[in-house]
Amino acid sequence: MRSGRREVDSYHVYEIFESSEPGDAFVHVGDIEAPDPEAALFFAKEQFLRREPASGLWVVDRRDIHAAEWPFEVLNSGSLKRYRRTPGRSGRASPSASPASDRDERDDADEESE
Amino acid sequence: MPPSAEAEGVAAIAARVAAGGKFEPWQEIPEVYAQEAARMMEFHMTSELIGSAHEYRWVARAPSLEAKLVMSAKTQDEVGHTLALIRVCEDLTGKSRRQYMEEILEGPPRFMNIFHYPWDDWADPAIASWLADGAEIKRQTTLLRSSYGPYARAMKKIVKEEGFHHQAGRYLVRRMVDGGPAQRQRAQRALDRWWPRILAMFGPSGSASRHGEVMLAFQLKLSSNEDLRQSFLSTFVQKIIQMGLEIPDDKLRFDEETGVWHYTEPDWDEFRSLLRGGSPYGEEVQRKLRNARRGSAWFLDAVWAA
Repeated sequence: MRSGRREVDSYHVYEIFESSEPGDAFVHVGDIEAPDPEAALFFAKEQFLRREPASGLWVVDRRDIHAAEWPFEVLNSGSLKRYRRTPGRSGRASPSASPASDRDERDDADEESE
Repeated sequence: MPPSAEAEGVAAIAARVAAGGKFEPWQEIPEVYAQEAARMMEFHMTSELIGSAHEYRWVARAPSLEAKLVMSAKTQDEVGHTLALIRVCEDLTGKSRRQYMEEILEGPPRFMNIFHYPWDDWADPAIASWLADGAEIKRQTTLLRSSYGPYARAMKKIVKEEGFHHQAGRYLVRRMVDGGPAQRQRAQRALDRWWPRILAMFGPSGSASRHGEVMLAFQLKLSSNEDLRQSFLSTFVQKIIQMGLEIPDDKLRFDEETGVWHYTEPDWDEFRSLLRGGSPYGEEVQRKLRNARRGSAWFLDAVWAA
């Protein structure tokens, strides 16, 4: 049986990004397969804009996305540079991906310095 | 792998996800985790597709234009859920779309119990949409916290749309119940048929299988079968009574002291035989999908050739 998708090898995965309200950041909402970017936009509209309006839609060929493969220590290094924070402000006020133990230490240190 | 090494691997994965870790397809994924994740997601993906085949038949047969539109939107949503999940499965297993379609259409029927029963009366899709989708929302809401990143993200879209189906189902049942004694009786008869099947959707309690334990440890499953069923009863018993329908279970009661719902056990032998061996009706649905795919191949070939 012919599948209707003989050119399946020329399909690419497109990652879909959507901005809800005007001015909102584009947020990743999923992915679809499509033969080209134009088709990807149509498929993405059918799949991801089914009820609620959006102010914008992006499709990005997955092969054009480059992901950092660094370990957590590297991705987290910014949060260890305490001098980048406004002095005197508690670490609690800023969102941080660091584990709870780190946060406790920092809070203790803040209290000492205050 | 010797059993002890396997147990060690399972424990390491369990510790990682217990600490809030997630698995992503671009990372190293342990084989035992990948197998469990694929098995669960393929079952879910197939169920979404088979479900849409049931609903599709009711687009033309629904009793009003409004009801046809509701069924049409629901069918499209369910196909969209299949598409979202098949992408997640493809990325994890490396299988192609063609392989998956052949497995679903030609392979053994591996999908949810409720899709092995015929939907012959308009009250069937109405009750199923209200209560079976309501039951699925209970389960899927917990899966937003799945340890497999792509599945948890896909679940956001799915849970939101199941909410629309659930509301639409409630509306359709309300129309029947308010539509005079004959309509109300049809809705009641459908509830009588579907109640035990819907309670069975969550799977048996107590006899926790090894698979079930591993799935919970891996956080591919976030609640036990019985906890989900209890949560469903806590929400829906009241809603069904408010709808003016009677729950066909004389053992159903809430124990105030223990906070536990008691109910008549569904027929678990029937449940297991459907999940293992399938059913004539499930086969019929598979056959229809197979024929539809063959019948439309010429059109798709022409489109892609253009």
